[in-house]
Amino acid sequence: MKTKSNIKVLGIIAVLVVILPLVVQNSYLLQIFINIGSWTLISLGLTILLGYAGQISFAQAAFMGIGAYTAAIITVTLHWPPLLALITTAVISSIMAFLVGLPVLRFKEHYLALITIGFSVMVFVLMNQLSDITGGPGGFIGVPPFSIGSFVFKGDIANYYLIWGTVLISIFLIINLLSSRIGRALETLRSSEIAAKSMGINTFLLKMKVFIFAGVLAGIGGALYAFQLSFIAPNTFNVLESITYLTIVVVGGLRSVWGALIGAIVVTVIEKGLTHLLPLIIPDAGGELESIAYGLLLVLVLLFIPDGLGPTIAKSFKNKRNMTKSSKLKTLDQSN
Amino acid sequence: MTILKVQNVSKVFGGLHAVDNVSFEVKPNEILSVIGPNGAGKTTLFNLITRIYDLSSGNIYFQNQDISKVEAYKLASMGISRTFQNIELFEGLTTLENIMVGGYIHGKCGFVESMFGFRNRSEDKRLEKMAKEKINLIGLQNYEHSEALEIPYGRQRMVEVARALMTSPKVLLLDEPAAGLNSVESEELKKLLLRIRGDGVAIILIEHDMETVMSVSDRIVVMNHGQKLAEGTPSEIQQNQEVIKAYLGEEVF
Repeated sequence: MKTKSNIKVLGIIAVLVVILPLVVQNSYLLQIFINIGSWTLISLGLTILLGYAGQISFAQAAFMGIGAYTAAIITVTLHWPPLLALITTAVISSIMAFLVGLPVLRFKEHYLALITIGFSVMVFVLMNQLSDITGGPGGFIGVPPFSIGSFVFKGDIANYYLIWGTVLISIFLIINLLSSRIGRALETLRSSEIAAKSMGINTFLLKMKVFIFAGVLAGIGGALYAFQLSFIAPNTFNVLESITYLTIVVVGGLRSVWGALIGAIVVTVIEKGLTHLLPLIIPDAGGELESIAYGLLLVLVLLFIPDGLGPTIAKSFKNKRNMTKSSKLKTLDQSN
Repeated sequence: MTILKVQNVSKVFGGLHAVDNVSFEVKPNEILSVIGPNGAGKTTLFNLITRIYDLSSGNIYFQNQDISKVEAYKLASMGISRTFQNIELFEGLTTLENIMVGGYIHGKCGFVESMFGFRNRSEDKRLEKMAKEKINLIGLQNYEHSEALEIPYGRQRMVEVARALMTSPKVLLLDEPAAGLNSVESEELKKLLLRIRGDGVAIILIEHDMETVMSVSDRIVVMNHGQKLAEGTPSEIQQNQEVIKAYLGEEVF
C-alpha cells in the first residue's frame, strides 16, 4: 500500500524532473537544481542509515570526496573511460566503508559517529597532503565530463538529467528495499538489537550492508559531482560538510524516503535565500551572520517539526484524506 | 530424550555469581518452569541460553550440539526462540509487522535482491499469511494494524509470543508472559501454552504467577541466589522444605 503510493509519488517527481529544464532555462537556477540533486544523492544513504537503522555517520562528505578523487584520478591520470571510473568508484567506496565499519558496527553504542569523524579528518588530510596525486589544497583540474561510449554528458542540461536520473533510480531501489523483509529488519536495529538477533537477524552484517550502501551512494554522488564541475578541491569534502548532510535528512524527515529530497530542497532554499536576503536587512552582514541565521532556522525546525518535514507533510495529507472520507460517510449515514 | 541440556552453567558479573553452576535438561513436549525470588538469576539464565550473554563457564547443548559459542542470531534458525521480560517490540512497526519480523528466517530475498523488488511481494504475502495465523491463534485480530507499542501491555506480551512462534521454534523461552495479564487473559495464556506444547514445542517458562506455573508445568526448576535449589514436578516442589524456606524466609524456631 505504502509502497504503491511511494512509487506513484516517484512517478510524479520523475515527470516534474523531466519537464523542469524545458520550462526553466536560466542557467543559475539549473545549477541550483543540479546541486539539490547531488545533495539528495549524498544524503539518501543517511536516511536509511540514521532514520531506519539508527546509526549516525559523519563520513558522507568523506565518501563523496573519495568518489570524486577516485573518478578524477582514474580518468585523468590513468586515462580510463568515465563509465569504468564510476564503477571503480563504487567498488572503492564500498571497500572503504567496509574497513571503517568493520571494527565498530558490532557495537550498539555510537562508536560509528566517532570513527567516521576520525576517518573524515584523515581523508581530508590525505587529500591536502598527497599533492602529487590529488593536486593538494589547490584542487584537481580537468576532470572530463561523464560519458557512456560516444555519448558525452556535456553542459548543464545533460548533467542535470544524469544526476536526477541517478537520484530517481536510487529512490526507487530504496522504496523497494524498505518494503521488503530486509526493510522491516532494518527498522528493528533502531529499537532492539537483542530482539532482532533473537529473531535470527544478523545485525552486524545488516548494519554493514547499509553503511556500505550509504557510502557507495555518496561515492557515486562525488564522482558525478567531479564529472559535472571538472574541478574538485578538498574543502568540499571537509567533515563540516557532513553536518550539512545530516541537517538535510533531519530537516527533511528521518523516517521517510523523501526526507533527503525535501531536506535538500529546503536547505538549498534557505541557504540561497539567506545569501540574497541578509545583505538587504543588514547591509554589512558577513558570512558569520549567515551561518547564525542558518543555524537558528534549523533549531526552529527541530523544535517545532521534530519528525522532519517529510513525515509531517505526509501526516497532514492523510488527515485530510481521512476527514473527507469520514465526511462522506456522514453524508451516507444521513441519506440512509 | 533431551532437546536442551544446560550443564554446569555459570555467569559472573564482577564479583556477583548471577548464575552459579546450574544444570538441568528439557525434554521435547514438556513445559519446564523456572521459578525463584527476584534476583535469583532466572532472566540471566535465559540470556545465557539465548546467547545474549557469554557463559563464564559450563556448556549448553541443543539437540546434542554445543551452542555455548554459537552467535545469538543463529539460534532462531536452529529452533530456539524467546520473549523478553521487558518488552522488546520494534518501535514504529504495527503488530502485524512485528510478528512478520519473526518470520525473517523464513525469507530468502537478500539486501540487493530486495532493492529490485521482483520477489518482495510474493515473499511478503507468504510471511503475512503466516503472521495472520499466529494473530488468529493468539487472538490479536483487533490490534493487527495498530502500532505494537501502543496497544495494551498484556496484549504486547502476546505479540511477543506470536513473534517468537513465527520462527517455528523447537524450544520456546517465555520470560514472564503472564505479567500484566488479567484473569481472563491468564486463562487464555494457559490454554495457549498447552496448545503450543501440543504442537511439539518444548517451553521453558519464567513466571511469578504460581497459579499458572503449577497448572501448566510438567516440571519445575527452582532457583535462588543464582543456584538451582530444587527440581521436580509441581507437587514435589510444593512440598519441598528448601523451596518453602526460600520463598518465606528463614524459619525462626
